[in-house]
Amino acid sequence: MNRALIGSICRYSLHDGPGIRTTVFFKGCPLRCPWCHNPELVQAEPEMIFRSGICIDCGQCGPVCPEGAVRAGGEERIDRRHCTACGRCAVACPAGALEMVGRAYDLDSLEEVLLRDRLYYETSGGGITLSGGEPTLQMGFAGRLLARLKRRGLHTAMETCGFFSWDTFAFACLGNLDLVLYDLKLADPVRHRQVTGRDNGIILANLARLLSVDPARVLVRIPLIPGYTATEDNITGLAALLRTMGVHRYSLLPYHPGGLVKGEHVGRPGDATLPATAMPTTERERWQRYFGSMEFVPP
Amino acid sequence: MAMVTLDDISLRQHTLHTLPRLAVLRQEALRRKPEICIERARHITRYLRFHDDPDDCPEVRRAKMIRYFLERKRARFHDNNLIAGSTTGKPLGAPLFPEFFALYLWPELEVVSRRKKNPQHLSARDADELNFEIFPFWMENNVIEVTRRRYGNPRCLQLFEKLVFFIASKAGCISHCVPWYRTMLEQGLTGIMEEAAARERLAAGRSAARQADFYRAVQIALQGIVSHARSLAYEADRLAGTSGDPGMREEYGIMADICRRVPAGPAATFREAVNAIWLCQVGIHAENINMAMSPGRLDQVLYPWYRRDIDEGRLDVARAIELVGCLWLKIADNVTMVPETSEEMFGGAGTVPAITLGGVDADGNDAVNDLTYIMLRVTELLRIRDPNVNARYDYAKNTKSYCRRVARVILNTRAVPAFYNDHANITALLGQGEKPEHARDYAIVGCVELASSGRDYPASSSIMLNLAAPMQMALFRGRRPITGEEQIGPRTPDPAGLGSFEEFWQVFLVQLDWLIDQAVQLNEYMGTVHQEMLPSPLLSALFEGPMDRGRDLIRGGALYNSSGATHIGFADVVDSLNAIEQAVFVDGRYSFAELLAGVRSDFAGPTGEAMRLYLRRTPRFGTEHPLARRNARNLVQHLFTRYQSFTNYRGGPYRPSYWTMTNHAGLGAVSGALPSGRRAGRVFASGITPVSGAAPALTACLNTVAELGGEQVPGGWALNIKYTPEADRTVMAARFADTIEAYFRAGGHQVQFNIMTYEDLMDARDHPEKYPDLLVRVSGYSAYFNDLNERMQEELITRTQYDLTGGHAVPLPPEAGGA
Amino acid sequence: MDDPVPGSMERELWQRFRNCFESGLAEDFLQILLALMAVMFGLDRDYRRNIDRFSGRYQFRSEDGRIRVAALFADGRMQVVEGEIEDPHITVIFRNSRSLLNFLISPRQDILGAMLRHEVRTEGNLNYLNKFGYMAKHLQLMMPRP
Repeated sequence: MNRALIGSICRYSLHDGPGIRTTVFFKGCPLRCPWCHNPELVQAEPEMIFRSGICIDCGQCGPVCPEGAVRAGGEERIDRRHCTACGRCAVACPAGALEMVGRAYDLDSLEEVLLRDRLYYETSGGGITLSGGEPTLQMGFAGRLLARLKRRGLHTAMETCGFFSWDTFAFACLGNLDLVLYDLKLADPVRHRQVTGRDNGIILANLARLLSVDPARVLVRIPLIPGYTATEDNITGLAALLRTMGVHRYSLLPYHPGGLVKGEHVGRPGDATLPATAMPTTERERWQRYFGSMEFVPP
Repeated sequence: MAMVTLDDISLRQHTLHTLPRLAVLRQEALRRKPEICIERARHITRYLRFHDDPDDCPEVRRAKMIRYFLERKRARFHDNNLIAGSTTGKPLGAPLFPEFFALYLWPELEVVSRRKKNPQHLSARDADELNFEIFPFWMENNVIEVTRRRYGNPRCLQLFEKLVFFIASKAGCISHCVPWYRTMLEQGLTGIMEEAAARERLAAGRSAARQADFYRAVQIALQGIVSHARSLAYEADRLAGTSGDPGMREEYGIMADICRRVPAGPAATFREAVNAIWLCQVGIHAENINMAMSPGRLDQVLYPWYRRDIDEGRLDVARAIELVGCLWLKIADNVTMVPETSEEMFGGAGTVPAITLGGVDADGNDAVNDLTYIMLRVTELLRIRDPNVNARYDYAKNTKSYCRRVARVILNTRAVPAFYNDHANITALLGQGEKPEHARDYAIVGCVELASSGRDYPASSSIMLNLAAPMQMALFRGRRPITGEEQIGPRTPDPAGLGSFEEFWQVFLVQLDWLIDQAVQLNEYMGTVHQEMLPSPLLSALFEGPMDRGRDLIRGGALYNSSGATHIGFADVVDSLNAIEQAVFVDGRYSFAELLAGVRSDFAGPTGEAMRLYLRRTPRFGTEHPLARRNARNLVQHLFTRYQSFTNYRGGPYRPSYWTMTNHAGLGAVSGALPSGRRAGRVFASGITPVSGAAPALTACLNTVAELGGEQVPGGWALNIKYTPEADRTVMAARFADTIEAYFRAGGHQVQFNIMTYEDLMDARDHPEKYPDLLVRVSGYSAYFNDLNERMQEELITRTQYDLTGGHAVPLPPEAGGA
Repeated sequence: MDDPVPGSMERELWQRFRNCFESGLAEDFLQILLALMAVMFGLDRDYRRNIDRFSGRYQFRSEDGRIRVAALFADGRMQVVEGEIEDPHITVIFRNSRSLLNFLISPRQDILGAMLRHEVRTEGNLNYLNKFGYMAKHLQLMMPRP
């Protein structure tokens, strides 16, 4: 595959590795976490975003749709059963309320964008992070991209859910990664399958292999989601797991409701029972205690 | 020899608590209301009415006039400052320069003390003296009227008087430069006068009468400063005997001694050197208007005296901080007289005397020294509008800890100093033919302009050109909505009939070049008038070049001569070019005729609004869209080539620059809609800053601005960035410094900050009483937020605010207004 | 003076002058201003000092050409003339009387705004306008309280 489907590119990002970085969000994810922070990146195809708040009801979008999938008025403008994400409505929309998420990049054009902030990486010790969605779903492209970035001497990182084929990953990516941000959600395999749709066996096995290669290149991160991951049982379980696996540094990502609105924009509202406010730092600090003397890395 | 010997470069232990004198002086200064001082106007008018000899050459006439005033200028000590001398007879005074535009005050004489915005106090007696004695003498004699008479009310002058095309600041100002104080400090003014006398004899021997006259004028003018220093010594002596404060009695005694020694003789101590510089600055303002007369690289100039006193135990760091603080407060002792008519364009500005710190020395080595950090600390502690403090940074030569220290001062003051990139600025001056050792010794003039210290006479504020004017004239066949049916520029083709963007670009250039021609023509006329009316023999004596050439600065005596032209509405005009190209010629979404109709109607109705929103999503300056980058680059390149093709009356080129003071607010308010989707009456973006909201990604914004830098921006620019303050300033300062360094490596000339949120500024607007001295960066200078007019406050509020934790623009809250 | 009731013309002029501000209706503001000025130069010695050694020729003209009036100052006297004069020191061209009122003396005076919006423009020596502006403003300050 010479092209990858990219959801967005975020520059001056400070929370996905050291220094000032550019984070590439690959589109498509094997997991279906109900709290997903980037729900617009879950589907592995392009799709339309509609932001009703900035729509001026000019009606220019409807007539241009070849499928008749754009409905006038209302909060949900797109009939997703018929939408083919051709993007014509987004071109027509003067206000920018309709937007296509998911754009195919070839290596050259993506690399060009990523190199724009090279000076910022250099002055701050930053670099590039591949994230998503799940970057390993487009492993071949991700691997070639990492190789190119490495040849240019850039610091590289990947943020992954861990659900990938170890052999492919080890072959395509591992050698060109300076840091793997490894997200763990739920300790219990049954619960993990129930909630995310996938078993955590592969995920934990991959983590173990990664740690055996080079523990210094791994940072385990746990999203703290009220009612899901941020429970007594789960955190106790995860902490125990990490200890057994010999992990000595970890990070906790406090819950943020940003995903809820984005879910609505792509017509896939998230779990309505999730809180509408961000988790306070004090709560994160409370969960930190479960990890004892393990080194906490601030997000 | 290590020049940084301080244990703690942030000088944390020195605060306003440990420096009570500075704390009190600062409080007094902030509470002072400006008063108009007529002393200068009175004496120079008397001189010209009763003593002037028209047979003298212009330099000698001017020198005698200055000496006459300085001999009569009353010696005053307004407070417990340790530096003797003050610009005017008032603690915070606006001196009058009737040669320029003081007469615009006339209609306001009886109300200026009570006007709503920024009143300036004037007593009824002084108002009467101005009305009956002083102003009538100048009715036919100020620069503009002499120019009008001489050149038969030329078209370019009429165009200037419409105000919305360009402002020729020549009318107001020839100052805008950085003097050379080293010779004065080493040899004293007496040394310079002796040299002038020797050269006068030589010139007379060669029958070079004009040169001999110039050298004579130098001696006469400098006698004025020496004479005023003597008056200060007498007064200080008197106060030493009468002051009720025993501490001050001693200080007056010291000041009396200092004023007897300097600036006539060489400075022996740090304190003498500081006071000598200040007395020369006072003298310069007897001759030249108090606008952007910039002291320059004081950390370099004063360093030998500082080092010697420290090494020999005569001075400690605390005392040095106190003296520098006293100097800062002295520099801030004057404001410009601002008639109500100029309030809109320049309101809230100080006199913008720029001080430049850090960077490299003439040999290209790290020049940061202990005094650099002392001056940064003083700036951090005082947080006052003037002086305009600027920090140079050479990322290859200066240390990272210096960069972080400057960043930290900006975070703490939330506004100052401004940051300058040595590489880009030195490159720019080298491109102007300056020798490397001269280019490296550059300092900031006024807002952001560049000049080799004491060698460069840049008249950097000669022209302020409104770029929206040629854009509108290109759209409307040489007319503008604001000037109605009058044919202003050449009658160019109706753009509705144009077949390509390239054709429109050519039409735009026809209008732009025509307007530049007009502005340059007027500057040439005024420059010629200046040469006869307003030579600067005193300032010339404090420069490199005039003494060797026997020629006044105004006649091209400096080593480097140029005139500056700055531009208003750069980003709005680039965005208009982008929008036209994309909408009409790339997308074909609207015909040019439809676009023009939308612009004329100010995007009225729902279809107008849809058009406007679409236009605002076309490629914008501040994003990396290739089309936007090309148009910005082409405009910068064209302006550079065009201006450089002229030679001014002093034999130098014109230098384009991009800073706007508050003109972008005033001119925006009266300008119609633009193809960029900007509505009529909205402020323009400031300096070289992208339009508010147009550049959502910080690094993309910095990259696209930076790539314009270098040789083609020899006059400098002002980039305004607003950051959200963060709780952890140490962490933020490090990231802040990294970001600045990357922007500099990319080629950016300058950047200045406001560390505040939309909400902070809205609160300051709604509750001025809570923010009595909130310092903000405008476009190249600092102001107190409360002094700014409504429009300018709006501009500051709506400026894009970036989060340094994510590099993104924070969305503008709806209640902030803006469009 | 032939005024049958002493001071009545003056009073009436002040009244009309005041109306201009208060009502904002400024149809004949310029004529009233010039007439009042002339009267007060005659009556008030202090005010007359402004024109003691002053000679100045002012032309005022509305944009549509309906109002053309001149004020001449010489030998300590002021003369108001209908129509055009030769060689004015300054010509003031205004969109309408209202804009002139705002320009010269309105309590909501907006000199720059008027010039920027091109409601008032001038040809000639601006310092004459500055002096005139002072005299007009001073007149306003002399206005008796109602």
